[in-house]
Amino acid sequence: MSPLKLPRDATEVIVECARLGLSDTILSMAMAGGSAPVTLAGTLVVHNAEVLAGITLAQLTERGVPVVYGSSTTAMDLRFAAAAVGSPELALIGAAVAQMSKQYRLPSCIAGA
Amino acid sequence: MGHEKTFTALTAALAGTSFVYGAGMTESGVTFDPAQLVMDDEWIGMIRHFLGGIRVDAETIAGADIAAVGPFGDFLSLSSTYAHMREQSQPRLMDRRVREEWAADGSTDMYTRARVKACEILESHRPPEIDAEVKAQMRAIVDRVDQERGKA
Repeated sequence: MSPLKLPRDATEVIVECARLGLSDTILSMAMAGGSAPVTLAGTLVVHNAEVLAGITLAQLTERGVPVVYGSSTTAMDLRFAAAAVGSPELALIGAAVAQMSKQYRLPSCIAGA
Repeated sequence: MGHEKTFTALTAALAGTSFVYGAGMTESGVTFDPAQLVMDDEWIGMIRHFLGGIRVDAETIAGADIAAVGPFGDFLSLSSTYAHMREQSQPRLMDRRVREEWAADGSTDMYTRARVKACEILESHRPPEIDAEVKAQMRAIVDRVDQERGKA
């Protein structure tokens, strides 16, 4: 849950999946301007911290369990207080997350089509 | 319509083309539709926004803001949000509102909104006047060439 919080239901799912050896997509939905900085670089910092924390929890539960680096992160359209899904911001963040997940050598799953 | 336009323009843009033509065209370019042109303007705006990339520096990373807001806080009321909020994409025809608000506004589809916008532009747009001095110079060039070619 942005910013920077792993709520109980999310952590329970992560821990349970790891215990069962299930592959889990660990994602965050930070919203630039609402639950994350309005500038996308800052949004990615918040997003990355949250996802890495979730992945760490999975690995601490069951070392080596397969995980997918996920993203539903996008901008909040501040004119309407609505998540701007389908926006250029979502596309930019998707591209950035794909690159970052490669850096971590993790598969990624990104909001899109 | 929108999908094909975005797909072909975006891939060319990412590969680094200088120009993309075809805005307003439909039916293999046989038909020119002002409403399509208005919609294409919207997709092109999104593509240009994407091509702008993500600026990464101390200000945009906003480390101090992230630390100050902390878990479960929000960024809505920060001065940095106010300072940068107009950098967000702001489509005019794509409707990002929830269904109830869209329905209350007449449940219009994209093409209908684009057509209304195109008609507005056609009715109200006045191109900027060309400066009289520039006009005179252009006229002089045309007159000179006409004379040179014996068409005066």
